[in-house]
Amino acid sequence: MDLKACKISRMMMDSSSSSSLSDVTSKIPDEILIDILSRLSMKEAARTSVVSHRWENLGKFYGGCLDFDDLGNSKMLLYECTGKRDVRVERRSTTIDSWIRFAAAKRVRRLELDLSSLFSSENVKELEEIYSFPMDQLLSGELNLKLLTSLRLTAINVVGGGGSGDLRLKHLEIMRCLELERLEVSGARSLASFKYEVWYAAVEREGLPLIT
Amino acid sequence: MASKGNLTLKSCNGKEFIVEEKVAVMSTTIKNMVDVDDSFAQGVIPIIGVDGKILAKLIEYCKEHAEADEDEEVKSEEYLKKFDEKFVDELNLNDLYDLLKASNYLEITKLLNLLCQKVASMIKGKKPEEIRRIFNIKNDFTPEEEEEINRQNPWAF
Repeated sequence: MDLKACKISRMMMDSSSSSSLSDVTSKIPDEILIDILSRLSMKEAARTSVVSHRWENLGKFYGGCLDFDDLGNSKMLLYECTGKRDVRVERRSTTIDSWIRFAAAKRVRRLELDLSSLFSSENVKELEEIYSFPMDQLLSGELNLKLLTSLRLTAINVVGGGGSGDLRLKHLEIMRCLELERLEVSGARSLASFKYEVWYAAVEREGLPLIT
Repeated sequence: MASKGNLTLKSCNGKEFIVEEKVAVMSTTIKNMVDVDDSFAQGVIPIIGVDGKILAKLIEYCKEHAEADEDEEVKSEEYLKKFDEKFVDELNLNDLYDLLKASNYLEITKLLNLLCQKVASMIKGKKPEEIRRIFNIKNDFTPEEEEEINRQNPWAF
């Protein structure tokens, strides 16, 4: 038995002496347990949903970072969460679209898409295989991300545009996006920061971002 | 009666503690009471649902942090970190939960954060069965339900 396990068993004995092995978590209000769960990774939190009916229900209110990369597949979509703030997706997958829709349904504030891990030496993909972020759907409101304040896209394509929409974006980062021919940001009154980094292959292309 | 600058806090089992105001107002709930109604500052403040043992613990924590806020030289960040670690490590499960509930009710945000982090660290890396054992949680799933959940969430294990 390691040291940590010793400590836990000692704690259990302490508590059992005064309350004959009752479930001590039953004393704790739901909102505190949700706070505790939200400090765990999505995977860790999901594991607690198998503990009991109460914990299964609490898991639905997980408010931590929806890190799909942690899961390796999209089963998390079964796991209905509310009050999400962050989503991070770092894996190329045909389900990225559904993850983004899921994030939108959960009213995320910050969205990060980073597929740069695909460009490691042995894993270079054809350009057409790279995920394309539907900027036109974001602008038109078809992709309902109205509460989004921070968008960071790394090593993916951005398609569409030319639309206008009611967005509250404060921070926009477009990093090493391939095949991005022209970037124009206009009328973005709430935008506080903008970062843009070209992909080495795209340097030849025209189009330093135009911001008006 | 408490002298000026001090407050008297009374636990639900009748124990009274005289504490410096700066220590007591680490609790937003107490701060609001004192700010709104002067008579609290003069008399005894009842702390509902918190017994003497837990209240003493809360005061111990708030005293260290209030003093550190006042003078960083004497109680450095590193000192506080060590104090916090020792503070949570020495708690048994029942005290940990009583303190969680009390710091939530009294709005002692720093302490609530510390305690939530502690419980999260106890869950981290544990299998569902171990989590049940640590916290004495009764498994109220039928074998069929459990199997169904395991089937739906294979990635969690």
